[in-house]
Amino acid sequence: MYEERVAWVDSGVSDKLTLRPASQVMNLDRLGSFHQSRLSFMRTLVRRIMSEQWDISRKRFDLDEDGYGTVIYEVRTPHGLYSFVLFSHYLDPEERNDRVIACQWDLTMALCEGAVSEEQLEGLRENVPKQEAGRVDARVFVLSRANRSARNFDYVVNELAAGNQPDLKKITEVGYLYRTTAVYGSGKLGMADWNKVKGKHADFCRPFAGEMFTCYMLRQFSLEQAEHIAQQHSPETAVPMDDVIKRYFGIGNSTGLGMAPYLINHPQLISQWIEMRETALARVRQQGEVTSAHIEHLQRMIQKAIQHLREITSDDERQHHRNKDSIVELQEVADWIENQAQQISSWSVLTQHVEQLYSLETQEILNSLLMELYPALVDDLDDHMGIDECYDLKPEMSLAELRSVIESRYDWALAIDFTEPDSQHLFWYRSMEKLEPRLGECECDIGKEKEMALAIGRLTRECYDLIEQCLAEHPNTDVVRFLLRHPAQKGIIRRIQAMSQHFYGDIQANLVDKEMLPIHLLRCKLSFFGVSKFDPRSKLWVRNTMFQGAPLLSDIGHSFADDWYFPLTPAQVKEVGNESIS
Amino acid sequence: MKVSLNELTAAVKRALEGLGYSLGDYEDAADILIWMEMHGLQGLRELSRGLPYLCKEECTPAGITYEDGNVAVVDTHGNGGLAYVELATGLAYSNALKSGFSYVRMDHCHNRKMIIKSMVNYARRGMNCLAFWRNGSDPMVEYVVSIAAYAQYPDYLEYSASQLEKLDDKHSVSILCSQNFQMLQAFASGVLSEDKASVTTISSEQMAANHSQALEQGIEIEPELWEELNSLTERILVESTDASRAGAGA
Repeated sequence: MYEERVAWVDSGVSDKLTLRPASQVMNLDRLGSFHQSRLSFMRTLVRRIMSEQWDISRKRFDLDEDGYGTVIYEVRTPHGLYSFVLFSHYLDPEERNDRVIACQWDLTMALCEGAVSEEQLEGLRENVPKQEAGRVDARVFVLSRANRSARNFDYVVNELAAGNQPDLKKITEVGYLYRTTAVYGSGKLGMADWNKVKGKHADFCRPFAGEMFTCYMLRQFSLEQAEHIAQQHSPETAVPMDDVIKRYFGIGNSTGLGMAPYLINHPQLISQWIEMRETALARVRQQGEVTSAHIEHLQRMIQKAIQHLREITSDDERQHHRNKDSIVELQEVADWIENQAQQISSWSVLTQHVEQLYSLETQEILNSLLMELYPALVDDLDDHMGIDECYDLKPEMSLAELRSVIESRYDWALAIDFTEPDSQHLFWYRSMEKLEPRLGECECDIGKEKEMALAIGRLTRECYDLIEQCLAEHPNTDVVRFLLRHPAQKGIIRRIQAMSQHFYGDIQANLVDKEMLPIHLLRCKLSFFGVSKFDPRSKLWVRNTMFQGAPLLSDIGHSFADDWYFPLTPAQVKEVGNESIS
Repeated sequence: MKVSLNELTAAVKRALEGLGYSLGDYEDAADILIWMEMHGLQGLRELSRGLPYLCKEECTPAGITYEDGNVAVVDTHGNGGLAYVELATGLAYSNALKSGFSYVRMDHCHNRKMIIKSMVNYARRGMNCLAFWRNGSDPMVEYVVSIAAYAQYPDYLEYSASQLEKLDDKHSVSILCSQNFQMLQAFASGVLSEDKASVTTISSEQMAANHSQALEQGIEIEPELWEELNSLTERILVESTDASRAGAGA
């Protein structure tokens, strides 16, 4: 089942690793079952903040009694100085909207290089609250906005003001005070380009590190703001929030289709993320020594994951059943491990058993947990999650060779019958509303002629058919001569040639099929971000929670176990126990 | 106004897509034009000049009109720079891999300056490249660009030469690829003018400095051109309706 290959990264131990094959991993259902891992960007960011002991302090905290005003945090790292600037505004509840098409928000934010002068602050104040309608300069490298949780924010403030701690049951249902609805980086709206950030700011040179840090700081601010308002409203009775409860607050996130085209338009990056994750898993399976201590640790983690799943509230029937099934399956796995402990000579024995019997969701939860057992086998890979994407055309390749490449690497695309109406039921397009990516149905929606080029499977099939025709007449021709006859094929051919050099390659799915679930694409990317508590609101968008369980700024400088994954309601922590293993 | 490289690249891609260019072509063209602009080669001026003439529907696909061994002529029928520089350079590269040297001439090619970035792409893969073309009438200006294998930046030379004869009126650009850089230099000295006036060069150091500045501060673009790009983008956008909003996941 597994393919043997030399791992991309020099492990220094043994490079001969057997990775799971692309046909297994790049399946969309499986990608849509991924969970966070030690390599997720939130995890690696927090490890870096804690190990390097970033110095983060308030430079300005000008909030009125209702929490409106301007706040600046200064962030000192081993490599530089940054400023995190927030503007808190009154927002009519009627105007509160999580969609990308919204125009006003409770909070708007910018992450900037260096210290912010008064002059720069005025420019930010003028533009940051406008988000897409404003312009910033290249000293800014992340721009974001967030809305208060209607269910939690006022409740938490009122409880603190009255001298009470918030009810943990309510926080278990909604684990945040704010939801971020968009986080922009990579040169949008005049911001610094990714290449600048990557080259100039070592602290944020990993993919999405700046974006994740912005959300982490938003979480910090949300807690400080809630305490501030409570104190202002009831100075006599207000109490600060307990740190244990604070850690259980994360940041809410709503992710819609806007994230999906990114995955398709950056296939080398996605392939790289997956290759590193699979390399970590392969190292654990093949090099991780199985001891009774590791087995006990895994058992504790499984119980934690089960409890975490129990605490997730989702109205989505499909996700609800997936969680429910995984709770049962994970307990069966735990029982099996209990009975077979002596026979588990390597973790491959366990993963093969789980693959044969259990759901994708359970398989991938277990894979994430296995990686937790061996930080030394996993954590060095976090420096290899980035890649300089390059899609060079190989004009000299013979057309016959290109045909062979398609037949071997894109067999999944050739296996799709595109004459079936359902296989071309959907189309992706950009809306006039903020260029928002949307999904239409060919039969009933307008705009098919403006379809985005995301149906990689169909484009490959069309190209393959033209190659077949050309080879019938010109069996010895090459790619460049084929392209001079069929220039419109240049994009897909370049992609095929480039992606065939990557172990995992393209996502193997027909993205315009009637039954395709876009939420799997979102879930895949979000798992690499490191979110938890997936709560699909439809097949097109998902709510989730970021940084729930993560350490606070006040924890920096103290011991850090890096075990905040699958966060539990604080009362449950004592029962399940600490996950650390020495 | 200042824009980032990323948003400018995205805007150019969308605008060219709006003009009917296919995926590979608008990706190439945006990549080339922005690379030129950030290295001081006036990519946005090329774009600005070219936009009024870009109408894909009226263009005839390119074709090889002559080929004999390592020599070929490609007629791009007027849509050369934006759509075909990558393929014409690719043809020269491909032929040179087989025979050590190749010559490709592209006829009826606008935006010939765009060839420079394609040469950089193939130099990165170990090929020595040289291109030249002539423009204008009084005086005629000759452009010569060369890049050695694995070099990051090309040597760019632009000069007027009163004694130059206009080779033809085919808006041609000649591309040479060789696995031996000295061979290209020898060839160039044989066919290019020795009577150089008003010489303009852009050194590797200048290109690197321009690149650093563009990365640090972004790129200056005329608001009118930015507006035009955004206006062309509208051609690929679909009207929003209540039904389509549902297709975004609300």
